[in-house]
Amino acid sequence: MREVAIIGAGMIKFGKFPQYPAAQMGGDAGLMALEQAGIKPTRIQATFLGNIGNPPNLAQRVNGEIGVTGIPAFNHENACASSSAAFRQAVLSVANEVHDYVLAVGVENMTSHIEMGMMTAGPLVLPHGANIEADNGMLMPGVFALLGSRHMAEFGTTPEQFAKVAVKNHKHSALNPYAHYQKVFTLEEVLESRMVCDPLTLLQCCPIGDGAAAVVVTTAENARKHTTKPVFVGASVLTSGLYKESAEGPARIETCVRAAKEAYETAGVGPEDVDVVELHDCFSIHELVAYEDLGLCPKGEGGRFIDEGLSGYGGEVVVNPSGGLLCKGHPIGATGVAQLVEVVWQLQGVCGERQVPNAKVGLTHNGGGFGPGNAPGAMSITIVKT
Amino acid sequence: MRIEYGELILESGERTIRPDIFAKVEGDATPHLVARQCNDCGDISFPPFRYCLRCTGGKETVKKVLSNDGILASYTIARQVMPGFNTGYILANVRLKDDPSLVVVAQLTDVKPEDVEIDMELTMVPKIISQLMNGEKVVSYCFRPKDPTKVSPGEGGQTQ
Repeated sequence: MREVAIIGAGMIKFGKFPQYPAAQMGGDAGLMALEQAGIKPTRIQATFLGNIGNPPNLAQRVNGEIGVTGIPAFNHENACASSSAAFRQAVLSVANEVHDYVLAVGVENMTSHIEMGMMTAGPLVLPHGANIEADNGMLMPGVFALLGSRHMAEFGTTPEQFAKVAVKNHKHSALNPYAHYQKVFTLEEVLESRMVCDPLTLLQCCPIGDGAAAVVVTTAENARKHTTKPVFVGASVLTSGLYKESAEGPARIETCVRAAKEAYETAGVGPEDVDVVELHDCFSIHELVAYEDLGLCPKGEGGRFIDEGLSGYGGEVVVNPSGGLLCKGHPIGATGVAQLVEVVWQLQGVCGERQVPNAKVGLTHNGGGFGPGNAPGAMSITIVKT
Repeated sequence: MRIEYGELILESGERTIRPDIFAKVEGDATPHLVARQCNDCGDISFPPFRYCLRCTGGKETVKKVLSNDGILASYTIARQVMPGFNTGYILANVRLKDDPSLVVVAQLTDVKPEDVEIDMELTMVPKIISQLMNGEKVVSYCFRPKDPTKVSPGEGGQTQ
């Protein structure tokens, strides 16, 4: 297999844009990635797109917006990990000599889902019969509240420690002009916001919003011709949950532990080598538990890790310099590629005020949905290197 | 919903969350949950799957009536809910006694939130948990404390 690299990354500022069609959002992000790569859109040989709810053939419509037609276009749905799935297929197509230059795009216009009645302004609504867990009243914040409650019982983790994740990511987002929200909150404000699913309060839950992101993927050999700052793909892992949890207890996400192990082995790095992480903090609890599942700290010590500031600037690893899903936003299909855009920019050293000093290894962690059973539907871990 | 000698009888306008998961068991006044068990490795799945998800490879499973007993692995209170549900139900992960590696998502019922404790013993009881857009009421498996001193009939946030 050929070594693969990213030569351009782009995204639009996330927010609420009911009048901004999904295809145009994707096209604008794609053009920005192509401009950074310094190649013409016509060099693109295939487009791989992630989206869950906008009208069909969105990859083709994005291609139309960037002036490309008649090439293979692939549309991927994997819940919140949809564009990570698209990116992985883009990487595989280049690695396996199917294509030389491809575009991976993530897009979601969620405000239009609400207008179409596919979603309420509150919880993500699944139609009855879609899965039995949701039919029983499971909610996305519920998935992580259950994980957090168990983590509290097993390890003595506190609601304050979960809330500190939100405080950190809100602080990071204030320096990110691409973030949906750029507002700093105190620990008291986070804890005193409306309770959604105990112990999760509103400011520990990601917002509904719109956005798009794109990366240009090619071979490592080609990359060196186009840029002095290529970012190489060390590993792109995507797996699904086991129906049952493993014997080690429920206060962890086995799927993440398994995916991370495969990613570290493939990339030839360990958690201690990672400088910057874009982590799937859909709810604050997920970030704290993922510190442990990704091996950034030992099992049960996620609370200490956030207390000691080890996941922020000046700590051991900077987690969610973008502000994460909590503040940068979580337009579902856009998220996986948007995480990649941030780590690519960090490795290129173009992040200005929020630049992680001397970042050489980046990791993205992107979960997608749940079930069957209690496991995540999808888990994607990507490791990129300079 | 009525229960007669362990048999679940639906009233007009009611449906179960899944038609194949409740069974009458001789000598028990409460219906029992029906899972499936692998012929080969003995693994139990609930909600039931046709093929074994542990040893995979297309191993077939057979019907297995469960004891209805479980342990509370985790819980939360759902304060912002999907249409058709009552706000404030107690959402739980329940570890089933028949196979402790099996954790199911269900609501707690007949219990006040302040009486809920992680690792408490539970037993299954069917309840109406939601109402669909077409007006139908959904009967599902809920769990209530085994300890009668923790039981508060009618508490738990279900729709009935």
